[in-house]
Amino acid sequence: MLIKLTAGTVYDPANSIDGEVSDLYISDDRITNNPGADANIDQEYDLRGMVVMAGAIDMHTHIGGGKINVARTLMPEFCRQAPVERSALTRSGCSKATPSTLLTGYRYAEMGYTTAFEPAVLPFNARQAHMEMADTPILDTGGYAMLGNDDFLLRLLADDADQALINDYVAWTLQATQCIGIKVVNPGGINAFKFNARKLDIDEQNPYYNITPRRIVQCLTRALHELGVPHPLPVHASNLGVPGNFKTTLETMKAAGGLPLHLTHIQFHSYGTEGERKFSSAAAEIAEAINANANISTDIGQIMFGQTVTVSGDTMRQHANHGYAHPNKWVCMDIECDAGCGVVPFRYRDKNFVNAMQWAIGLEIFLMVDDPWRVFLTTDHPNGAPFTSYPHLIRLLMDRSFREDLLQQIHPEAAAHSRLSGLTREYSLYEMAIMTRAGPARILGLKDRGHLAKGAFADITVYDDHANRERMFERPTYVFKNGNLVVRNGEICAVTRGATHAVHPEYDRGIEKSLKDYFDRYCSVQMENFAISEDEMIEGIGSPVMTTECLARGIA
Amino acid sequence: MLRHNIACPFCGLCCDDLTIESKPQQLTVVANGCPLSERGFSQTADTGDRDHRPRIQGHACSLHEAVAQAADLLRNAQLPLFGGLGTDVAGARAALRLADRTGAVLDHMNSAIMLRDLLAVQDSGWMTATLGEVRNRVDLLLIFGSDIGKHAPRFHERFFNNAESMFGQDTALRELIMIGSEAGASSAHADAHTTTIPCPTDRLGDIAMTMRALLQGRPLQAEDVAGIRVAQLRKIVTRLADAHYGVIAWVAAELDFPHAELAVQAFSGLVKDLNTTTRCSGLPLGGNNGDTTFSQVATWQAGFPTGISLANGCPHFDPVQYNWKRLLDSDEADLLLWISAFDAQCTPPAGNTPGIVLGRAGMHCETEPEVFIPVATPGLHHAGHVYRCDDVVTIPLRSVCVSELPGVSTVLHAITKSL
Repeated sequence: MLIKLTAGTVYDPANSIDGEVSDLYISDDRITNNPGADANIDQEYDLRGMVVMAGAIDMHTHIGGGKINVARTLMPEFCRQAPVERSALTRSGCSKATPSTLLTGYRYAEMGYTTAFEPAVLPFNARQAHMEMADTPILDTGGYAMLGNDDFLLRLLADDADQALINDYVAWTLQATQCIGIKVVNPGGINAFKFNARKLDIDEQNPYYNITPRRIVQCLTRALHELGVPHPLPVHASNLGVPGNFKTTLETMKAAGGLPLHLTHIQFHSYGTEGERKFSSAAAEIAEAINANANISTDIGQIMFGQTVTVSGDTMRQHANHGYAHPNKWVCMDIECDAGCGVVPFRYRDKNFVNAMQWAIGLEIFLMVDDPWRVFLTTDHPNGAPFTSYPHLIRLLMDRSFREDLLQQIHPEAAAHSRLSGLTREYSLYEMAIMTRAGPARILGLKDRGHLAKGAFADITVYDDHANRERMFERPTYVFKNGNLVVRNGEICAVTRGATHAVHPEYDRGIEKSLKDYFDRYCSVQMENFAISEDEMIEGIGSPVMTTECLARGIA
Repeated sequence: MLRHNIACPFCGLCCDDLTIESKPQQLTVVANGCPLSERGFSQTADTGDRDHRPRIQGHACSLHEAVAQAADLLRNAQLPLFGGLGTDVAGARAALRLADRTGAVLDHMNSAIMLRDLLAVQDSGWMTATLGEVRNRVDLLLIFGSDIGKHAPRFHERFFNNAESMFGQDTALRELIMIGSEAGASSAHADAHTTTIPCPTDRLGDIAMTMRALLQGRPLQAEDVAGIRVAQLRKIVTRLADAHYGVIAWVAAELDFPHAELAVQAFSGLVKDLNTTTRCSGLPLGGNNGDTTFSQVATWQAGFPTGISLANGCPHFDPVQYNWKRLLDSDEADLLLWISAFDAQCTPPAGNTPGIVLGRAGMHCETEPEVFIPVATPGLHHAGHVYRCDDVVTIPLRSVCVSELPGVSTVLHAITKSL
C-alpha cells in the first residue's frame, strides 16, 4: 500500500522542518521517500492548506495500572454522567476524568495522539497496567516502573551496596515489568508513611532505613545513566503541594549531579510562601533553574478548573490532602512493600485563590522555560485535568489574548499576584510540535516515532489550520497510525491495536539469587511468577513488546 | 510429572507456590495445598464423552454447532443476561465484548457479596493494604467475623503466622483479636496473644461504630453493645491506637445480612480514624470464582464492577435493578448465558429462562440448558490471569495438563464472530 499526502504544511522539528509545504509518502506502516513518477499511488490525500505533524506522544498520563481502576471504582458518578454509546466500529464506555480504557484510546486518537506512557507502574501491579493499556486501542503504550520506595532497593542502599548491584536490580526490574523507564515518586516517602512518618524532605532520613530522598534520586539517576536507558529518571519530588516546596524541587535538581533528570508535574512542586496567604508562585525560580541546567527536563501537570480525581503513588501526600477531597471520599493503599496508591477526588475552582494560583503557575512555567525540547505538555492526567483538555491548554499557550481573557476570570488576587499578564510569549506550531512529538520521542529514545523522515513509523496527524487553536487541535482531519487511517474529521474510522514500548538493558543475572531469597522470605508471590515474559505480553496480556535500544555506559 | 510454583485460582489469596502432580485425567496438589485448592484441582475434570462434548437441548453436537446455536439465541434475545461469570481476565474481556454487541446485562454470581465492599468504597473510600504488606508489617490483627480460614484457608499460615518478616518483628508476638459469631475458629492459633469475643454477625457494624466513637472521645451512655462491654471495646481501641501497624480484616461473604455495606463502611471508617495518629489498614478478604477479576476488568472496560446493563447501548450501573437473581425471578431476562469455568458445582438456577451454559467439564445442570459447552479451567488446562482479593496483584495461571476443551474466551469470541 502506497499513500501520498500531497502538499501539506509540514512541522517536523526532529528534522528541522518548520512549516514547509511538501509531499509525504507512506509505504505500508512507514514513511518513505518519493517513490518516483512511475510509482503506483494507491491513495492520495490532498492536504493543501493543512498542517501536518507526527502523531502526538503523551509522555506522562495515568492510563493504566490499579490506581485509575481504584478511581473508577470510587467515582461511579463520572461514568454515570458521561456514558458513551457503542457504534458499529467502537465499543461503549464512559468518558469524564477516568474514561474507560477503550474510550481513552479513541479519544486520544481523535486528538491526534498515537502513543502514550503510563508514568507510575507498580512492579507488583505491572500486569494490570499492561492489560489496561492493551485494552486501550490504537495507541502504542509503555510504562515507567516505580522504584525508590520498594524495600529491596532501600535495603540495598542501607547496606551500602555497590552501584553495580543497584544497576542490576534496576535492569532486572525493567525486564521483569516490561517497562521503558524507571520512575520515583516521593523518594523514600511512601515507604516512610508506612512507618507513620507524615513528611520527608529531601535531606531527611527514612525512619527505618536512615536513607535520604537525595540518596535515592542519586543512585537511580546514576543507574539509568550507566545502563544507557534513554529516558532519564522522572522524579515526582518530595513535598508535593506543600507551600514552599520549590526549595525541595531545586535541591532535587541538584541531586542529579549534572546527570539527566526529569521532574514530573512540576507545577505541583513550584510553590512559595510569599504573601498574606503564605502561598505564592515560585515559577520564576524554577524556570530559571531549568533554563540554567541543560540536564533537567520537566512536564508541567497543568491544572484546569473543574472536577477531576487525583491518583498518585504518593500515599504520604495524598493522605495529608484527604481533607480537600471533593466529594468527600478517598482511598489510600499500602502495596506489597513496593509502593502505594492514593486516590483523592478534587475540584479545582477558578474563584479559589490557591487553585487559581496553581493554574497560573503551570502556565508561567510553560512560558518562562526557554527550551521547548525540555518541557512537555501534560496535565498529569487526570491529576491536573483530564487529557481531553489538551486542546484548550494548547490555545492558552498559543493565543495570548485568549489567555488574558481567562486571567480576568480567576480569583482577582491570584491574577494580581501572577506574572502571567506580563508574559507575552505565544508558542508557535513548530514549538508545539516539539513539545508534543519530537521532544517526547527524543527523551524516550524512540528513533522511529515523533518525526516524519524516511523510515519513521507512519504515525501522522493532519489538522485544519484553524485560527482557533483549540478547535484545530481537538479535531484533526486525518490521523494515521502505522500507516492506517484511524481518524477522519475528528472521528474514529478504523480501530487498530497498539504495542508496548520497553527497554531491556543488559545485566548480571546473579542478582536473581538475592532476589529469589528476598521473594522467598518476604513476598506474597513467587519470583518465578513475578516476571512478565514477552510471550505473556502477546498471549495473555495482549500487547506485543517493541524494545528500544540501551547503550550501556558502564560503571563510572 | 511435578509442576512447581503453580498458582491456585480457587480463592482470593491466589497462592502461587503450589506443587501439582499432573497425571492423565488427574491433578493432585502435593505441596502447599488447602481444602479449596485440593477440591479445585481434583474436581472431576473429565468423566467421559458426555461431559466432554457440547450439547444442544441435551443432544451431543460439535462445538461449531453449539456456537452457532448460541449466537442464534443471543441474536434473538430481547434482554440477555450474562451470569455466573466465573472466569479469568481473558474470559471477562470476551464476555464484556460480547455483551456490548448483544446489549446484555452482566452480573457476577457473587455480586451480592461483592457489593458489600464495593458500595462502601463508592460511598466513602477506604484505606487498605495488600497481602504482602500485611505479611511483613501487621502487629495487631483485628478480624470482624470469625472463620476467615474457611474462605481463605492459608491466610494465617502465609500472612500472619509467617516465621519471618522484613522489619525484624518477632511474628510470634503478633496479637490477634477476633470479634464474631463463631469467634475462636479453626485456622487461627489459640494462645496468649489471641483474644476471641463472641458477637452476632449483624451487630459487627455497631461494634465498629462504637469503637469509632470511643476513639474520637465521644461520650457513650451504653455500657455494652451487642453483648460486649464498652470497657472491653475501649481496651481494644487503645491497643489499635498503640499498635504500629494494625490491620482490620473481614470477609464480605460472612456479612450475610441486609445493608452489610454499612458495616464495611464502619470498619473502613475506624481504619481511617486510626490513621490520624498511627498506621492501620483494612483488609477485605474472601472472593472466589473470579469475582475480583471480573470486577476489575469490567471497571476498566465499562466503568462499573458488576450490575451493568449494556441494553441501551452504553454502560448503566444499578446493583438492584440488574441483580441476576432478580432478573431471572421476574422473567425480565429472556436468555441466560451462564459461565462457570472454575467450579462445576456453580450451576445456573433451575428455571424457565432458556440458557447457554459454559461450564467446567462435569457440570450437571438441574434444567438442561438449550446449549451446554464444557470449557477448560484457567490455571489447570490453559494459562490466564486472575486477581487476588486485595484488588492489586494479578497472578499468572499456568497450564498444568493438556485438555482439548476450549477456554471461555475462545468460545465467546467464536460466538461474537457468528453473530
